[in-house]
Parts: sequence; structure tokens; C-alpha cells
Amino acid sequence: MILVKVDSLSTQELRNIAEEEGVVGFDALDRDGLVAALREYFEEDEEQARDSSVNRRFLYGLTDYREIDKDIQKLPGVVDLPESYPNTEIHLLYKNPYWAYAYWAISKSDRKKLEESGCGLFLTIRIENNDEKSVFSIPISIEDTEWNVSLSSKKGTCTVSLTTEQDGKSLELAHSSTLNLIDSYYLDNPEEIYKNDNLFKIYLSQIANKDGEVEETPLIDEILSVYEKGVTERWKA
Amino acid sequence: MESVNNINLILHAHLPYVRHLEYPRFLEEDWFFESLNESYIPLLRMLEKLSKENVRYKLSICFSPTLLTMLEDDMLKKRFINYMDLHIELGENEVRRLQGRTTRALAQKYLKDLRENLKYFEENGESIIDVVKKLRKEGHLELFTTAATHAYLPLYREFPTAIRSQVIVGIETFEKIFGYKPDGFWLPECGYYPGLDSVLSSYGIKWCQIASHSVVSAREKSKYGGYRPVKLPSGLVAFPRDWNITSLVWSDRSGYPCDGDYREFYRDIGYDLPMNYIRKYIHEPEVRVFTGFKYFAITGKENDKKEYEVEKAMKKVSLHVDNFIYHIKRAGLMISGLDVDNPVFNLCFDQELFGHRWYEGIEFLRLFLIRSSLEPSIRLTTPSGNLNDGRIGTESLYINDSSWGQGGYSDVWLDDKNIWIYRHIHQAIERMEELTQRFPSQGSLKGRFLNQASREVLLAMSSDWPYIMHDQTSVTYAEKRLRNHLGSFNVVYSAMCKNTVNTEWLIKAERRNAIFPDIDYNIFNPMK
Repeated sequence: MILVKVDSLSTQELRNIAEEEGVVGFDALDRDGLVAALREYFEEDEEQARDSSVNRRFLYGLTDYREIDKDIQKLPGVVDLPESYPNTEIHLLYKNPYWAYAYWAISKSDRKKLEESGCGLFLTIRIENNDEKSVFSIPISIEDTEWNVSLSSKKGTCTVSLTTEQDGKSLELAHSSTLNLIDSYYLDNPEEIYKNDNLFKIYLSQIANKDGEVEETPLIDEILSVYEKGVTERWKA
Repeated sequence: MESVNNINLILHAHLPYVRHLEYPRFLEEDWFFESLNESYIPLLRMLEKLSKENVRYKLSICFSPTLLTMLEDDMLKKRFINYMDLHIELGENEVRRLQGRTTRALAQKYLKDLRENLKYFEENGESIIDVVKKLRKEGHLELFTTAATHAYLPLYREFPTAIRSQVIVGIETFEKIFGYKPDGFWLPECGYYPGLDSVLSSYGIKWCQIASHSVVSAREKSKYGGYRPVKLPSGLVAFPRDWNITSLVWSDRSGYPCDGDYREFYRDIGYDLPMNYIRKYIHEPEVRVFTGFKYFAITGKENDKKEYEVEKAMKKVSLHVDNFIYHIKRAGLMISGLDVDNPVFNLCFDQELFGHRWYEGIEFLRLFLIRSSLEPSIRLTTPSGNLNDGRIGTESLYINDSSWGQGGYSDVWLDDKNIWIYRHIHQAIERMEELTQRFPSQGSLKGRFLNQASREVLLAMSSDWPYIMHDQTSVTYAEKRLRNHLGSFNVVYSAMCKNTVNTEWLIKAERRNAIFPDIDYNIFNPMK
């Protein structure tokens, strides 16, 4: 499944993802090369996820009538939805510890002002964690309506806003509500993980299946990789 | 004193609201009829029988408000009886067709089950609700509720009125049918975000379930790793689902239901037999669907299937139940060795798996309840029972965003296939809030108009639509439904902006989506 809109990401983000996903020779690729490599990677991933193994049953309780959708085209009351809404506003949705999703709309009057002034439009991402504050301003087109937001910190809060410049000053057109990011003890105290052998046995007992496979979530992967590293080092010692 | 394993078997029965009286028969209504015939009725028949046999069992069941509404809908009851009559006729044909063949006995069994299920339904006043009430009264069941239309709540946190409406209508629908307020609330898809506990607590909810991985990644260091209930900041208690034990059943690759001796769900005469034989029992025009008449075992991954043998499958069920109990006891022993006595195992499942997708699932539950009730190291309990049990403590944790969906967060309901829906649903919520403030106390026609608008918003929020889009199954239907609800909401919004009511439209819309009859649109008022 393609979780990210690959071509909406910065070159640096593409490089980071390519590295994480183990794309061979990622550091020698230019932006187009990275986009192509990641598209290929995620498509392969999607094909694997759609493996039609006969044992993949009861994914969902509802019977799959996928082949016959064409026969239910005419339900009453179905209308087209508006392409856009009249107010300038922006919303931020939490997807997972690494990604959020922002979408927005710009009112006709704001759009007109922006076009007339020729000022740039920015998506400003604020991530705050106690005293640390990171602000990223990404230039966007007036036609853009959404963005996958990479969460550079897992902890703290995140807000996004639509901003422009007026007389050299930043002017906010709309801002989202604040999203609380993950606040995890073990992410804050990785050194603690090594000291909790019995505790991790309890944890693993509930989140691992009979074959020893652990429930797949990115945060658990991160915590357990630290734990495994500690166990391996102790074993070597 | 020896440690005892407390088992909360928690079943979640939910279907989206599907009711299309404008058609003589409608494909997706079969979701409801199949579940009623293959899962809900067989489960209740089995539980009643255990009760008569004095088996000391306990479990918890959540019936979603949309499902409860369908179960109590007179027209759907009639259509279910038609569905059963049609399938009984097909069963009679099958028994004749299979004269002299080994599969005839299975056809006879299907026919007998259909007749008995229909008789049971009719003898209980064309309803299963009274049986559920009776089993609860006898102390076997804890009943609880969920969000009004099973909305995936983390993606609506920005709209407190929408969250509140889902909770209030969920509680009210439950209370109207069962006559009391529920203590528990099933978080749709185990979707939790910090702060949701406060909303639930403020409406008298005492417990909910959460995803298993949420405990290890909590803000505080958990001592019990999910084997004790978790007290959330508001005081609401969360019961972490045990992934280790549930995956023995739930895994779609290696769970018990994948065993080769079990019945193959996908080989059905609705697809296999010639059109001139099966036409009457499928959908018009010649749309092949599942009929429930299936004669093959899963066998293996190839298409070459062996005939299904009931006795062989039942022997396998018995083995799997023993294996299931063995794994619980083994986990209990391991945990008690690490100083966690009297652990709580929360085994959360979708009800429709048992009987519908996994044909042998009801028998699995039956044997599990019987054998667990006789097992000294196992105590069948309910979450509310745990809360009143002094031997079972809780631990206080701050739980982060989490769900039981793939990846553990919101990716499933926010992927490239369904992400577009939120800007429209959120807009409808904002506009619904606006309507409540502009027209705060409307009676009669305008009140009905606004009430219908609030129903349409709630129905659009159902988690089923984005899930179906994600899963790429009945995508067109899901998309049409979503557009239908949002379109209907927009009819009200546009009319109210002109201070008019489209009476003819309203009457049709109320008939079409006859859900939550007592809803008051003011629940969307942000000032309340």
C-alpha cells in the first residue's frame, strides 16, 4: 500500500525513506530517480499485500461483491460533492507516529488576494516539544489542497498553518488544531530498555504470536530493536 | 493461593446500516441476513442450550447501534424471512439434486439448520433481542455499546460535537432497546486518542477495550504489560486486547480457521452451479452471490478441493479448543512466574467471524466455554466483573493514539484510497454545528428536517465506508453510500440557508434512513 504521496515529499525526505526502505544506491539517485525507485518499491509492496493466498480469509466480515459493483450504480439521492468549500481553513489528521495528513481549502476572496498580490503561499509546520520548537515553511501552489506531513519528532505537539507574506511579514490565513504526538516512556528512556528483561518478557508475551512474530507497528519495532540490540550485546559479553 | 487466569471473551457484533426498501431485494442486505442466519442466531441457540445444561459461562457482547436498529426493523425482519424461505427452497432442491451423492448429508444439514433457525427466529417474536436480555438476566452476558455508526473516532477528534454525538446516540440506542445504561463502550477498530476517555467517562461509561501494543508504548512504564486493566487519566478503565492469544484464531494466514479440514468459504454453489439452476436464488440480473451451500474443505492453497467432512472438522475443532486453552494456561504460567498473578486475558473478536466466515466457529466457542468452565486455572469473567473484583488491580497509564488496524494507528482509515472523504465529512460536521446555532430550537417540520440532517452526518461517519475503500471490496457501494449521506445533508443545509423545508424529500429521506428515531439535532450544538 502506498502510504505516502511520493512526489509531494522533499528530496531529503525521499532520500531518508529510500535509506530506511533499503533502496540500493539511493545516495546516488537524483530526485526523479528516487521517486521512480520508491514508486516501484511501494507498488511491489502493494502487490505482496494483495497476495490472493486462499488462506487469507475473513479479513473483513462483509462478503466481497467486488465483481458486481457495476450493478448498483443507481442508488437514489447520490449527488456530486463540491470540489471545494468556501472558507479558508486547514485540518491536520494523525496517521501514525511518523506521518500526519493536512488538507485545506482557500476561499475565493483569499485566492483573489493572493493572485493579485503575487505573494507566495506556504504550508507552515510547527512541532513543539517543551522548549524545543521546529518550524518548517514549505512553499506550495495555490492549487495544492493536501500534504503528507512528516513528523520530525515523535513527541510534543504539531500544528500546521497556511501563511503568506505581506509587507515582509508573515501573515497567517488559517491554522489547524493542535495534534498531540506520541509520548512514550521507552522512546524517552532507551537505556531503560536494557534493564527490563522480565518486563519485556511480559510485554512480548502479549504482542507476539505463537510463531514469535510481533504485532507490526512502527513504534513497537523501534522499541524492540533497542531491546534486541541490548540482549545481543549482553549475550556477546 | 494459586493464580487464576481471568478470561474476558469479548464479541463485537456490527454491520453497517444497510436497508434499501426501494428494491425488492438488495445485494448488500445479504450481509445482514447471512450474519443473522449463520452467526447471531446459531450463537444464541448455542448459548441458550449451554444455559439449560447449567454450564457456568460468561462472555461480553457488543451489538452496535446500527445492527440493533436493523435487528428491530420490521421491514428487514420480513425480508429476512423471505431470504430464509428462499434458501429453504434451495435446500430442498439441493437434497433432491444430490440424491445418491456423499454430499447429500451436508445439504440435509444445511436445510435442517435453515429450518431450525427460522423457527427459532419466529418463535422468539421475529427477534433475537429477548433471548439476549434473558441470557444477560441469567448472568451469562455483559452487554455493552459502541459509537452510533461505528465511526473511527481518532479522525474526528477535532470535532468534539461529532465525538459526543457518536457516544450519546450509541448509549441512547442501547438504553432504548435493553432498558438500562451500558457500562462498557467498544472503541470502533480499537481506535483511541488521548482525551477520548474523558468524553466516555462524562457519559457514565466505565470501561472500553484498547489495542494490545498501546501498553508497551505508553507514556509510563507498564508493570503488567496488558495483563491488568489500565486506568486512563479520566478514571475510565481500558482492557488491552491480547494479541498473542487472539491471533491463534484471528490470523488470516495461520489461525485455526485456515485449517485444511475446515469448510471452504469461497466454494459455493452460487458460483459453481449452472445459471438455469441457481438463477432464482442469486441476484438479478444473473449476479452470482454466496448462497451458503458449500461442500468443499479448504484442503490446501490450490484450487483442487476435497469434499468437506463434518466429523473430521468437528474433531479438529476439539483439538483446536484444547490447543487454545493450553496456550492461555501456558501464558498464565509464564506471567505468574514473573510476579503477575491472576492475569486478565481480553480476547476480543468480531462476532461475524464465528459461524459466517468460520463455519465451525460456533462449535469452537461452545467447546471453549464448556471446557473453560471446568478448568480450575481459568475463570470466565466480564470487564465489569473484573472492576468489582478486589483481586484484580489496575495500573494507571497514559495511552497514546492507537488502533488494532494494520500498522497500529490510523493508516487503514486514512490511505490513498479513502483520504478524500474527510474534507467532505468534516465540512458536513461544521455545517451541522452551524445549523444548530442558527436554528437552535426548531419543532415540527424544521426540527424533523434538522434531525434528518444529523442522521445523515452520523451515517457518513461510519468506519465501514473508508475500510471498504481501503480493502477494495465493495468500493462502489461504499462510495455511493457516503455520497448519498453527504448529498442528503447538503439538501438540508441548502434548504435551511433559504429558510425552507423540502417536505416531500424529508418524508422520503426519513423512510430511507429510518435510524435513530429519537435523535435531537442539538447534540451537534458546540455550545452545549
